[in-house]
Amino acid sequence: MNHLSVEQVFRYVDGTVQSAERQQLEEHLSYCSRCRREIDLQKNLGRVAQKLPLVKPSARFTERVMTSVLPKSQPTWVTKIINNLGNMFAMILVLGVLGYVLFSPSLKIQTQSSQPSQYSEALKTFSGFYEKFSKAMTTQSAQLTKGVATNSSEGGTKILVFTLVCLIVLGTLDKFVLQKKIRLKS
Amino acid sequence: MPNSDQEIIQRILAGEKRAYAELVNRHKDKAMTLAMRMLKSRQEAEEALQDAFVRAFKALPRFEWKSSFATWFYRIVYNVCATSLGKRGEEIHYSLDDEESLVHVELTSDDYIPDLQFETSEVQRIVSEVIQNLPPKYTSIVTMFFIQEMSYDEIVEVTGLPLGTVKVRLFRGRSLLRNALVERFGNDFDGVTMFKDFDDKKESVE
Ligand SMILES: [Zn+2]
Repeated sequence: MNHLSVEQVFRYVDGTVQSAERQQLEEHLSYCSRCRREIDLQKNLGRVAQKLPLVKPSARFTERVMTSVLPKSQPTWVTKIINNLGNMFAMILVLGVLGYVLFSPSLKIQTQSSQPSQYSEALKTFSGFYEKFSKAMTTQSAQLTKGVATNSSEGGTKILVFTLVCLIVLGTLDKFVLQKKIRLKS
Repeated sequence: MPNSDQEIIQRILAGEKRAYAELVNRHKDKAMTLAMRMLKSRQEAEEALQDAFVRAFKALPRFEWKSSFATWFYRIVYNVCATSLGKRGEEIHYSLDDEESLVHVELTSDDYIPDLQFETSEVQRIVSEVIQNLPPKYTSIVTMFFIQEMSYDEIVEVTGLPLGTVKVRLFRGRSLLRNALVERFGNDFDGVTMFKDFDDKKESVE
């Protein structure tokens, strides 16, 4: 008998030869070392190929599949607030500082009592404008806080009201942006 | 004992959709290996696989247990990858050269067959590399046969190819693999035994 054909080698290794043929092949293998080596090679190759390390998808793969498969849940207003807690806190902080700068009388003194220099001249020009602006703001917010503010806590209330007004304005703007009534980017 | 695919699918169909994650985790690595070998690009393979899992989820209510979930799912993976290959102009469906008989596949039998140390990571690395670099139409079937341990009939079901074509492609793929390996080590016997020493040091090669 001739050497085993490629197909016979594979079928022998895979165990898909019929018993009559098997006998014939085994007889040849009993004396042909070349075919035996070929069979061994294919057996080993198969064993290695079966145990090769698998290629793994990236770490968050399952998560990504699940988000595209599950219906998106509408966030409740509670989760919205929790999600935006950081933003809200930062906003209040910034507005609070801004309000303090605008309405605190102690800061104005510093700008007036400095030596004449280019820098302080510039500051004076600025503070002139600044005073006009802050006076206007004060009258406006005084009208706003009329009847609420008491004399003792006037500054604090102004800051508070300023912060609240700004928050409402920004909040409304934000809502419009979210609803895409205003587009920030094209 | 872990839940079977069938139990998980029953839970999903009963409304527990989150259980699908279990099914994904169970099959993603082997399926990713198939996609990767077919598409040769990690990013494309991952996109194809995600697409396949989403399609499978949507089709799950129509899944009848005519085959295992794995076979059914690999059919989706294979088709998604085949479509991607088609867009690239690489056709892996039935073609004329599949008509060629196995006569054209020849083992380089007269070569000296080296005593390969199959347990070394070097041989494993090269086998992996050769399989990865085979043309998609061979590597897909070689991978299904070895990694997914599918029978010829299951491969026929997954690929939709005739049994004869599956056999030819599988034998050809395996012959190419075998010849590449013999070529690599045939004339370099010392090189093979040399790698013995590295056996334990290089555990897993990604
Ligand atoms: Zn022989």
